[in-house]
Amino acid sequence: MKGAQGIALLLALAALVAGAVVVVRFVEAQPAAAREHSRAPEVPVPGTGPTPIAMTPLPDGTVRVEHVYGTAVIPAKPRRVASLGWNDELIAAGVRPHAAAGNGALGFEPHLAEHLRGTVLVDVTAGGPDLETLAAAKPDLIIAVWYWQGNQAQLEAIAPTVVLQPGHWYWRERFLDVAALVGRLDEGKARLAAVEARIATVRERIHRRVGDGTVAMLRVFAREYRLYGHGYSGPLLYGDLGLRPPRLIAEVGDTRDLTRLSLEGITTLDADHLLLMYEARVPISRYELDRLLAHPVWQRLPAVRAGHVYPVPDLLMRGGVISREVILDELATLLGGET
Amino acid sequence: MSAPRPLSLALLGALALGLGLLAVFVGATDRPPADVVAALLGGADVDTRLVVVDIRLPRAVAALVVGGALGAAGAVMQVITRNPLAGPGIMGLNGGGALAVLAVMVTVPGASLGALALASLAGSTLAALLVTAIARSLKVGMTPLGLTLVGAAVAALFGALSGAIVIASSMQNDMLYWTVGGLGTLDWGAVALLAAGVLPAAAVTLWLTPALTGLLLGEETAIGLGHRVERVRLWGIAAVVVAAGLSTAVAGPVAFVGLMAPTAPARSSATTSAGSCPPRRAHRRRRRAGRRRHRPRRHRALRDPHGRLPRPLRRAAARVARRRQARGGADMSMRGGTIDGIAGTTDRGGPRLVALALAAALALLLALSLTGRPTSPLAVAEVLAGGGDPVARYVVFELRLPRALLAALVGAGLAMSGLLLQGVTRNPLADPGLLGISGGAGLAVLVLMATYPDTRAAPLWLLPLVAFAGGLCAAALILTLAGGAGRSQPARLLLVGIGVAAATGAIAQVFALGVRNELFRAVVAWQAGTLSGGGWPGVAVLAPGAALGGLLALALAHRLDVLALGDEAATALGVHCVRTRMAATALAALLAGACVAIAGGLGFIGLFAPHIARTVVGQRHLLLVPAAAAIGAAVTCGADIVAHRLIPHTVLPTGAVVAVIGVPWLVFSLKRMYRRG
Repeated sequence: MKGAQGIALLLALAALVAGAVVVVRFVEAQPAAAREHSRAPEVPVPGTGPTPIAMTPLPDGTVRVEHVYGTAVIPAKPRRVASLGWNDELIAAGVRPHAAAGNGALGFEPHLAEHLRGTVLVDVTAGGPDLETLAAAKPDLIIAVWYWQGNQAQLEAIAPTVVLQPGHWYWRERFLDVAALVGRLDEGKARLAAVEARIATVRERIHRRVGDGTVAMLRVFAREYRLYGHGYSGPLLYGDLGLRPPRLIAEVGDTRDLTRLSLEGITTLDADHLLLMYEARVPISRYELDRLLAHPVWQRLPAVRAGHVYPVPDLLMRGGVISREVILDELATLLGGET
Repeated sequence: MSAPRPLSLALLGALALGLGLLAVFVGATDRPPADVVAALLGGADVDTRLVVVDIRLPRAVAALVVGGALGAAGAVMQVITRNPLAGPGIMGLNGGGALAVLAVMVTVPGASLGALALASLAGSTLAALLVTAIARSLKVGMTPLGLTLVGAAVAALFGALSGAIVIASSMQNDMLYWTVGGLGTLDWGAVALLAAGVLPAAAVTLWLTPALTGLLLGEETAIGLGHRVERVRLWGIAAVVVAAGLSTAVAGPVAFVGLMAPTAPARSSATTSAGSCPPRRAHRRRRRAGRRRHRPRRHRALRDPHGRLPRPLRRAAARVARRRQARGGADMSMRGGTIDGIAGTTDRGGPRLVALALAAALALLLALSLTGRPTSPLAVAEVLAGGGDPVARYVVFELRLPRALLAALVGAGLAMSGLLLQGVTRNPLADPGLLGISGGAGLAVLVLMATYPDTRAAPLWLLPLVAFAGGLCAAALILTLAGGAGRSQPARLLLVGIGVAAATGAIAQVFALGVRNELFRAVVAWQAGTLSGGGWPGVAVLAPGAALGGLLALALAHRLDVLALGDEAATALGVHCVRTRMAATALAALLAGACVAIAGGLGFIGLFAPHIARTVVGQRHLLLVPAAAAIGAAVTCGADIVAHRLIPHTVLPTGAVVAVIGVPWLVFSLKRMYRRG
């Protein structure tokens, strides 16, 4: 009896673990695009994907905005804009946010810090945005990304809140959404045109140098290496710059955000050029990087033997306009040989 | 002495080696077996040799060494503590190592594997010292129950502190992958480091084998055989610490190997004690000796309700039962639980209850003024009375009030749940967290979060229902394994509960990794016990559940009083014992499930709130239920204030704060329980 119970318990545990593994596999195997639209909306949702937000001026001088989570009535000329996730886009549109998301201990993103002098820092690292600080800043418009969904009602109690899906492949649409919200659509379009021009130059420059060679983006984590495909750096590298992905990414298709590689998996990384990213601030990442660089497997990679490995800053993962400008200069130097 | 089943030993060894070898043939890339063999023999092309010799082989060797070390460590611990549920993970050794490694990673940039290994060793040594010191300070010393409970408590403390470090540091994602066990980038250097520590530990273990055999036969026998029991224990624990510490540094906390490996071979022989490589000999010998020794006692064991427990455990349980009989069925630490005692506390109970309610209200007010930027209680009172500027009103009514109410509701719910469980099991150490009911509820919620097919998070009202189902399943599982609601012995119930809690926790980790990226951090915070996610919707979901649970608990109060007199007396007084137990357990699962769904891993409140309630209002459940609820609410509000105030720019998980208060309390109540014994 006791033995049977024990075996039953072990079997139940095994079944649970197996179930967990299946779930994890399933979630990972889902293409990012499919996950983002798993509800398959018949009507496109404003503020997601290629669909811009819908803005209707109202007779009383305010504007009705249809966004990801409904509608908001915002001032036509907001003066005190709070940004939860759209710092880059707001600055690029020529508006210094009155309050903006940042890290309570580390401050704002380094590449934006000089544009955010005098902005109220809203700490978003302690389990959610610091709503007390945000409320004390008395914004008249909050522009948020959708992962603060749990705080939606609390945000709306502070000021009209517009929620947008992060840009990724649609960073142009989101940037213009943000610019339109602060009444600077024309300035936004001008800035976008400048970025497009820069993209075209850098693209041509890199293609002259790299040609048909494949380019991979590898990020070193403590316990795994991630090869990025569709998500994060994908829109810039394989979209805007039209670079050729390595065989590993081409095989799984362009639909997958990232592929997790083990050390052994790295042996199959046959890219001609390797962009390498690690968290300089995270000791364990630095340590893992040193171990990887010293490993014989690494030394045998074609890109390493050809000397085509380039450390890149994590700005490459961001969807903003200013970070794009910075990273384009960087890539022009690294891959395009610009001096 | 005859050879201890050389065939099965050889078979197990061959199986381990075979699986290790198999691991060399399987990997992320396809390599034909012939090539692998060639590479192992020094042939094949450079790439295959690299993969086989520099990646797969060190991994396989490390897996064998780590697994073997943890298994042997578990076996030694199970002998020393005479407890089939002992293991380096459950006894807090891996947790101590992991905590130390995390602390070094955060404070020393670029620490090498050697430094991390040293830190891990120091951490697990500290854990071992802490656990044994606390266990020794309890009058009874290192009994299995005491040691396991202390170990579980210390492990919970380390886990909470590790969670706090992960959350407080800005490098969350990276850390988390490390805290889940797994063999990542392992090279020969790491393997050498591991072997350098583990091989001496293995040698010590082998050398200890005869003495461990003696210990298995009983402490008196071991002394009679000329072994120095204390020294054997010391060396055994030292070997265990080294094995667990180094394994943790190299592989992350790989839990459960130490628990499962020794019991798996033992299961076939229907005993539940030691048995991986070196000590397995001991186990075989004991089995042979034990068979002879136990035979005359067999029919006695049938009468003895504690017959299935290891002997010292059995003794402790018997002692408890005796004392309970002597005191007319009162609980181990409940003061004066006789009929007189019940009658005697009623007079002062009412006013004291009012005082407790006032204390809870005060804690709530303080939480309103101190969670966030400090505001004077007067300003808060002004806002509550309808004054104040709009921002202050927003801060109080939209942010702090729902959070404080949530804290109070969660505290009250968990306290009532603990009270019910303590009444049902007649065990002062019962607590939804320690018994694994919270673990089951949490696992169910995580499964829902990980599998919810929408881009948005699962609706809030669904979570408590799922958590209730999970908690109920866990309760049913624990009660079944512990021998049924009516007959289960306190010690056995606790041991099973700790095992189930650990199992659900480990499985939950796997599911946490399956959660979508956007939700991941929220899930981690929720696992550590947080009050940030709820807001007014959380209060709206939790308040009806807690109110309903409280009313039902009050309705059960009289029957619980009678149940405390013992089953026979209760039956004589017309109370259906089994039905009452089932109802109270389901109610406890309901309350704990609702709280866990909203606030995650908040432990220990269900443990100490009922104790304080008992010392204040006495034994009657009609008073105990509201008293425990008030105390739980006050304590959780207080913990939330500490979580806000302790480190600037950071809101610690409230669960970590509660654990830091709760663990000493657990030790304290253990001490009290043993002092009486």
